[in-house]
Formats: sequence, C-alpha cells, structure tokens
Amino acid sequence: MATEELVLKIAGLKTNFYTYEGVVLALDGVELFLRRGDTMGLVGETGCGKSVTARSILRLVEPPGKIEEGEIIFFDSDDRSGEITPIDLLQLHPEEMLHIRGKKISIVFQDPATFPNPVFRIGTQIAESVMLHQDLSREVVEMKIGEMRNSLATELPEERRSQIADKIRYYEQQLDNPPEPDDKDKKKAADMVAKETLKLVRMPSPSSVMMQYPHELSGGMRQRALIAMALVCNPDILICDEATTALDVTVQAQVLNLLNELKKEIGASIIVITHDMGVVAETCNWVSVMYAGTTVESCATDELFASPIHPYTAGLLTAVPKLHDTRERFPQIRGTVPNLITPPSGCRFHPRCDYCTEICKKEKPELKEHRPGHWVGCHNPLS
Amino acid sequence: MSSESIQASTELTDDVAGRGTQFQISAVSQLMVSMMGFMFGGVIVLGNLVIAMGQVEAEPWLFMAAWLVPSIIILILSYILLRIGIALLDREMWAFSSSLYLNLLLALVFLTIGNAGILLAVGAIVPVVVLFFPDVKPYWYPSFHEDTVPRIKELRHALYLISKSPLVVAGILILTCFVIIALLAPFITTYGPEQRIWADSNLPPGAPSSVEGMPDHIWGTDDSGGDIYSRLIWAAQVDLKISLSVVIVALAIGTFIGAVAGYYGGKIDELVMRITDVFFAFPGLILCMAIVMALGEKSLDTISIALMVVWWPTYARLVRGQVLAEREKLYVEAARSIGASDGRILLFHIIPNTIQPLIVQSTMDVGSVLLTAAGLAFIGFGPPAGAAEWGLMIAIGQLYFSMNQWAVFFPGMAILLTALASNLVGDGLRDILDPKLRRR
Amino acid sequence: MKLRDFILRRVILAIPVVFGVMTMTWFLSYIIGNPVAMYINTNTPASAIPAIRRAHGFDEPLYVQYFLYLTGLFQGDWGVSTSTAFRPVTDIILLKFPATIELSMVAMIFAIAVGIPLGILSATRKDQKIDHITRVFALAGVSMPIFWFALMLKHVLYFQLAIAGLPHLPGGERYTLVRYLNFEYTTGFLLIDSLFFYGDFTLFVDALLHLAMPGFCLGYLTIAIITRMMRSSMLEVLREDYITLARSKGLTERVVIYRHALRNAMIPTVTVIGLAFGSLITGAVLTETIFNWPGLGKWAVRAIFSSDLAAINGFTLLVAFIFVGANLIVDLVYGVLDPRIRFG
Repeated sequence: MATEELVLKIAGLKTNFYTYEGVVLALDGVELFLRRGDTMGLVGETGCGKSVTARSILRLVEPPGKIEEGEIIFFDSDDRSGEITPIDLLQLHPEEMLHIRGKKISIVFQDPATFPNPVFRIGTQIAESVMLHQDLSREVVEMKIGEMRNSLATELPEERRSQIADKIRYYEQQLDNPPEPDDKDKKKAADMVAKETLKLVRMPSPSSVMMQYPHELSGGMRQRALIAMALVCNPDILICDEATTALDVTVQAQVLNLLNELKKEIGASIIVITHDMGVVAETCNWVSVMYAGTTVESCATDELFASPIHPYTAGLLTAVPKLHDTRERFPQIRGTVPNLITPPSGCRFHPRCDYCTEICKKEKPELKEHRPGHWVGCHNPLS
Repeated sequence: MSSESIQASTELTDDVAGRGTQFQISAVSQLMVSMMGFMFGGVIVLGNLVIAMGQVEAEPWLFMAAWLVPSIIILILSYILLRIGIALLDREMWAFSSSLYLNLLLALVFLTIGNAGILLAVGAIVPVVVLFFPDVKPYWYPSFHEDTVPRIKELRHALYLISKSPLVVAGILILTCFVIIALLAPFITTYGPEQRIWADSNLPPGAPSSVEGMPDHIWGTDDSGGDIYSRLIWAAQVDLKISLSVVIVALAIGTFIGAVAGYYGGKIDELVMRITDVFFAFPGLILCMAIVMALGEKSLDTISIALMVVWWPTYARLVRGQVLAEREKLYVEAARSIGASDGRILLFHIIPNTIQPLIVQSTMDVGSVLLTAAGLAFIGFGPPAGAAEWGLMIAIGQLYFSMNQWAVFFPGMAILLTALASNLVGDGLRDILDPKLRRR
Repeated sequence: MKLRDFILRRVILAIPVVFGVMTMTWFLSYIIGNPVAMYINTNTPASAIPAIRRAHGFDEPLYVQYFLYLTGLFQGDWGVSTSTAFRPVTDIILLKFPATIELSMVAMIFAIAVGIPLGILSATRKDQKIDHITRVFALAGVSMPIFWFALMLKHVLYFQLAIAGLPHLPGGERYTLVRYLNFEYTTGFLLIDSLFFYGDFTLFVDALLHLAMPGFCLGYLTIAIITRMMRSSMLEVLREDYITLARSKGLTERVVIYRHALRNAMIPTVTVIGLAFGSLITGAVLTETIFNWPGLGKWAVRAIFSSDLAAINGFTLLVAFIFVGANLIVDLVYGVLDPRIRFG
C-alpha cells in the first residue's frame, strides 16, 4: 500500500493484560492501515481486541494493560504546508501524545450514559477541547466583527454607525495577523465554536443543549454531543468505538446517517469499530476483520461481502441472516472463542477452522496481499 | 419407586459409603455440637427463668432482653441442628450444607454471651475445615459438586487476596489474639479484675508487690493499687463483649427493619426514613449519654443497650438503600413469577446480595462501638469506678497522670490496637469484596 | 427542578426532623426522673413548687405536657442548670457556645486544608510509599481514642517540655489568664476580638498558641475521616469512563485530576464533612475537660456528673440543632455540586 495515501499504519502491535488469572495476550501482532479519506470498519466478535486496538492507538491502555511492542505510524499532515511527517506514536513522550489526542486523533466512545462527565454542562465539555487545542485569536476577531455587524442591524444614530463601521474595518485588518486574545474572549469564542459543532452534528436546539447537563439529554443526543466533542478540533482520524451499540435501532440509524453526511463535510478518516456487519455495510468503504487479537482479513467492503477469503470471515458472513433466506437452521462456526491466556498455537483460528492443516497449528500466518487490494492472514485462503 | 429413583438412591448411598470416614466425622461432630448447644441453651433458659421469677420487681425485662432471648434463640437453633445431625447420619443429603451456616451462627451467638462459646466454636469449625480438604466432596444433590466448586474457588481466591495484603492479615491476627487473650483471662491474669492493694499505688512496670507472696506487677499499678496488666485483660473481656454484641444485635435489628422498609416502600419506608433521620440528628455519643441517663442506671448493660439503640439506624439505612436497588432487578421479578413469597425473596435472594457492604461496615463498627463505649465510660457513664473497663481505666489514670503514665498509656493502646485492627480488616475486606477490583 | 426549589425542599424536610429531635429529648427527659427538677432551683420555696408544677402542666395529661414543653422551648425557657449555680440554660449556652465553636471551626478548617490534598495525593499515588504512610496515618486517626490522644499530647507537648525547661504549648484555657485576667469578649471569638476589636496582636498569637493543641487533637480525627473518604471516592472516580474520555481529549493529567475527577470526588466527601461536625462535637465533650477549655463540652460533662437534667437536655437539643443545620448546609452544597441531585 502506497505510503502517500496512508494516514495511519499499525504493524506488529502487541498488548498484554497482567491479571490474577494470568497474562492475557490480548493483541498479538495486529496489522492495520488506514488510507486518507477512507472510512474503515474494524469488525470482529466481542473480545477480539477491537477496543484495545483503538485505545492502544491513543495510548489510553490503563494498567493492568501494557503495550508491549509494535509501531503505530501516524502520517501527520501540516495544516498550512501540506507536508507529511510520519510519527511513531508508541515512541512519543507521554506529553507529546497530549498534542495528538483530541486534536489529530479523536475517539468517540460507546456508552453515552457513562462517558460524559455528569457534573459539567455539555457546552463546557466541548469548549474545553477547543480552548486546549486551538489558537482562537482569529476566531475572537471574527466574533467581534460579528458582534459589531449585529449591532448595526439595530436602530442607531448616524454617528454611532460610522464609529462601528470604522471598528469593523479595523478588526478586518487584524484577521491576517490576529493578536493574543484575553481569557474572557477566548471562552466566548470557544463556546461559539462548540455551538457550531453542535449544529454540525445536527443537534436539535443547540443553544439550550449547550447549557444542559448530560443527564438531561436523551441517549441519542448525548451520543451526538460525544461526537461533537471528538470533532470540534478537526481531527485527521476519528475512531468510533462501538459508537452505536448502546443505542436503540432508530437512534442508531440516525447516528449512522449523521456519520455518512459528516464524512464529506469534515474530511477526516474514520475507523468504525463494530461487531455489526450491517453497520459496516452502511458506512464503510474498507473493512478489516479481527479475530482473537490478530487481523485476519482486510479489503474493500464490497469485495469482502462478495468474496471473503479467510475461513473465519466466510463463516461469519454465512451466519448473517439474509432477507431471502430459506434455511431453517443457521450455520455456526464450530467451537468457541479461545481463552487468550492460553491461546492456540500458530494461527489462533485453527481449532475452529475446517481448512486447518499442519502448518496452521505451528506458524502464525502473516497478513499478505493475496489478491490485488485484498489482504488476508491465512495459510489456506479460500479462493 | 421407579427404577430411576432406585438407581439414584443407590448411587447416593454408594457415594456416601465411598466418602467414608471424613464425612462420618463431620456428621458426628455436628451432632455433638448441636446436642451441647441444646443442653447449654436449656440450662441458660431455665436458669434465667428461675432468677427472673425471684426478681419480679426489679426490671425483669432487662434480663430477658440480655439473656433470655439469646438463649431461646440458641435453643431453637440447637434443636434444628439436632434434627439436621440425625438426618445426616440417616444419609439425608440436604442436611449437610445448611447445617454449616447454622453451626457458625450458633457459635457466634454463644461467643457473644459467654465463654462456653469456645467449646462450641471448636465444634463448629470441624465441618468447615472438612469442607476444605481436597478429597472431600460434600454431597447434596447430584450436581452439587459442580455448583459448589466455583464458590469454593471464589472463597479460596478471597482468602488468597486476604493473604496478599499484609495489613489485613495483621488486623485479623491482632483481633484474633485479643479475642483469645480475653477468653483466656482467668488463666493468664495475675490478679482479679477489681483487686486492689492500697500499699502498691502508682508503681512502675515490673515492680514487685509490697505484700508477701503476691505476684509482680508486670505493667505497674494504678492509683489505688490495681494491677494494670490483669485489669487490662479482664477489661478486654468486657469491651470486646460489648463491641461484638452491640454490632450483632444492631445488625440484626437494622437489617430486618431496613429490608422491610426498602422492600415494601411506601408509607413504611417514609416512616422508617423519618425515624432514622431523627436518630441521625444526634451525634452518637450524645444520644448514648441521653439514653443511659434515661435508663437510670449507669452500668455496662445500659451502655450496651444504649449503643444498640444508637447503632441500628446505620444498618437500617444501609440495608434499605441496597434493598431498594436490588428490588428493581430482574431476578426478583423472576423469583416472584415462580411463586416465591416475599419473605423467601427477601431472605434468600435479596439479602445475600446486600451482604458485602454490611460485612465491611459491621467489621469497622466493632472498632467504632468500642471507641464510643470507652468514651462513655471515660466521662462517667459506665460502670462505677473500680470496674475493669479500658475507658474507665484511663479516666482513673488521668488524675495522677504526671507521675504515673502507665495507667493511661496501656489501656489507651489497647483501645487503639483493637480499633485499628477492626478498621484494617474492614478496609481490607472492602477492597477484596469490590467486584471491580477482584480480577486485576 | 431548579436549585431554588431543591433548597426549599430540603429545608422543609428538615422541619419534621427538628420536631422529632425535640420530641425525643422530651421523651428521654420524661423517663429520666422528675422533670420538674429542670425548672426549680434552691431558692424556690417548697410552697411555690406546686404552682410551678401547674404552670408547666406536670399534673396534666401527657400531650398537654408535651405541648407546654415545646412552647417553653420556643419561648426560651430551657430550664435552669443545677450544676452552674442555677442559671438559665439559655444564658449558659450563649456564654459557652463561642468557645466551642471557635475551637471546632479552627479544627475543621485545618482538617479540610490538610485532609483533601492528602486524600488526592494518596489516591493518585496508589500503593506507593506515600499512599501507605497516609493510609496508616488516617487509620490511626480513626482508631484513636480522642481523650487518650489529648492526654498524651498534653503530657508530651506541655508537661515534659515544661519540665525540661524548653518552650512549650500552653496547657489549657483559651488565653494566658495570668497576663490578661478577665478578658471582655465582644463577639465571643477570641481570634476575631483580639485582632479587630482590640488590635492586640500578642493576644492574637497567644490565643492561637492556646488553640494549637486542642485544635490539632480534634482536627486529627477529622483529617483522618476526610482523607479516607477523599481517597476512596477519588479512586472510584478515577475508574470512571469520563476520566478516560477526558484523557482522550488530550488534557494533561493535572487537569484531568483537579478539574474532572475532583469535582465528582468532592460529592461524597462533602457529606462526610457534614458528619464530621458530629465527631467534632463528640470530641469537644471528651477533650474540653482535659484542656480546661471553657466550652459546652466541659459544661456538659459536669452536668452529667451532677445529674443536671436541664443542662443535659439543653445540651442534647443544641447539639442536635447544630448537627441538623450543618447537614442541611451540606445537603445544599451537595445540590450545587451535583446537578443530578437537583432533578429529583
């Protein structure tokens, strides 16, 4: 995959959890690549490591978890010059990660009930990101111009009007090189940006929502607020960690529609983590399938649904009920998800695979481009 | 009987026969424990009735509350245990596990009201220990083994977590030591609890007695010649008894009231909330003071009763809160839909799920009750001067504090260590029982 | 529900509690003994007693007595104290109240200022050395019999140092009596009076020195309570999902802890602070005698020993009122801190 197109590349990511029962080998060499502008779905069963991967990207893995090794290369593009710098996120100093989180890479979490801070208003929480990451000097000037223009719309004596017009000209000159704003103005500008973002996520009555607390909103509205918090600083990558799982179906549909619309508006690359193939079909143009801590298949969405190569993916897709299904029993993948403290040797899927051969039990397959544009990690791919 | 059930019962007897000696020992020991309990309970009940009849004028109700009721409880428990023991020997399998809990309960009740508890405790421990032998598989119904193995695993995990925390182990050790010392008081003290030798006033630790043939004063004497070491240990009996009995009784009353209030809600709940609000409006010590004054007599028994009255609202509120939360959960509805009565749901489903914060709170309260009781004795609400009680010893000692620090120091340290130990254990238990922390 | 409605609701709910308290004390004093003793003193001639009895309705049925008791309370007739020269209980309370309150306030401020940061420190550095030290320190505070601690402190910081000829803390009273003789209070609070009304800085320092030992003694228990609660609620909060969210926004650890976590963790701690008032009052009862502090505690202890009914009754009532008031304020602060509470 050509490096110029990529915005994120993960190679050999290993993350472990040290528990009483033993060491959980949660991620065993995950490979992932995200192209600029793509919407990639990261699918897999519960417990396969999707969320852990997402948190590893932002280095939010908390003890007893630990990122052991690997590379997570983020291709940072400078806003003005367009120059691309690859940064290995795992090698960064923890303080430097603070500039990535929320600003370059954002994450929207799963459960809108527990994720916003219950004691702060929505507006405050969104504006917080803005104040932290953005230099608001230009916005402050624009805000002042806006205020002046608003006052012009009212009845005023001629003298005042010319004074205001002068001020507007003065401020417009400042736009190219705005001065350092004071804190009060900064806060007001941040609130404005927050409100704009709420409008972006199609939040009903954004002005009143700004002043409300999380528990006063419905689940769907809270999720929109969380999305707004993630988007407000125009990140390059947006990760949605099962963002619709905790919502009921109608709200889920609304949020998915929102994501689709936003794709064009915000220009970020999105990773959609889910276990629901339907969500993937709706929103993503690329899919990566994970199983037990490894990536097993990665290709375009249509390609995956049409001809899956990895036995696991094939099994998954046949198990999904279809509209015109006349089958009486659903085929299952035999066996159960492995215990990650004592995972199977070699390919982690081999105990459940109908196509298992000797090499599968000994050697872990690498992710290779089996067909053009279609990567798979299997010794005996179907095709 | 159908062939299936014949086969099942032969399996049962075969299995029991296969268990052999270990199971038999356990069954017989339980039988012995229950018979002893029965005997003791009967003796105490009869004895109390005789005494109560002789003191009809002088507030027999106090006697009944403190002695008669627990002994009746013992009697009932022993009878049930007796039946269970007999059933065990007849191979009725349901008996074994339920008798475990009853044995522990019996021993606990005895421990709080008298020294006979040691013997019963030993008898009760045997079935518990037997349960932990790796080859013993207690039998109840065919799949009982599979069901209990995860529970025993949890218990072993809990014990492992306990052993990993040195502070908790220290706390348990200290408490156990103190209890053992208190129970062994008649054997290890050198003087009686209220024995004074006036000539020996204010002697430093290690001083010999001025009277011929009397043992040395290991930790010195107080201002009226009482041996500090001995009085300290006699006082341990008193103080530990007060703490344990107050906590147990308050727990029982509070749990009952709280569970009923939380489960039935509505007016009962409102009423209980208002009553507990009024109790909470007073700091504990102050209310105890007022109650002791109201009861008229300033003695250990009145302190105990006052403390029980003051402490039950804490548990009532705690249990009420928990029951309110549990009541909404699905398993309650499921139980009700298969016809379980309210009492059964409360007793077997809800309360076991609310036990964790109760255990933590009551462990720490042992220390708090002790501190309050000692405080009350210190300001004069306890037994008259001369009785062996830690707080009282400090009160007496402070008069001559400048020349004799030991009379104050040792009792204070005893209180401190006991309260410290109970807080350590309570804290440790809280960390261990917290489900989020368990699987790190 | 707006904040104003919430406040109103809490205040209204407190009223039945206040009535319950008064009923409780009446009930207790009724059982104790001859309630008439509350209203008579040695100067009352024996012939006047029946009249007093009738006036307070002791010959009347119970509910009348109860009613008269309540009205008496509201009118300020709390009886006369036999242990303090038969002065009216209300007078004594007004006289001794500031002493205890000043001590309690100093102890409380000290405890909050030390306890909260210590709790945060202990939680953020969990299982490190500072955490263990703090935990043991707090544990000892909660397990210590406060009267014993007071005696020990006094022995070491006053007695032993005085014998050795070293500078020491004063052994009792609120100020050096010998130097200032009978000080005329304006507000009753020595710290305020000495600084603002008399401008006497040496007196101020003297008062502070006298407050040091008793304040520390009372404060230690409160620090322990606050630190433990702060630590445990902080630990719980730090496990919550919104902390992960805050970190994912790129906020520094400092901001995450002191803005996001702290605000949530303060909620249960504030409740504990309200309860701590009760422990302060209890501590006052147990330690004022040891420090010869002329406050409510010392008076209450003396009243107990002389079975002074009115005094005990009055003291209990007062303490309950203070406690209810303190908890009410705490509830209101709670409502301000946690918006979820306001909405029922």
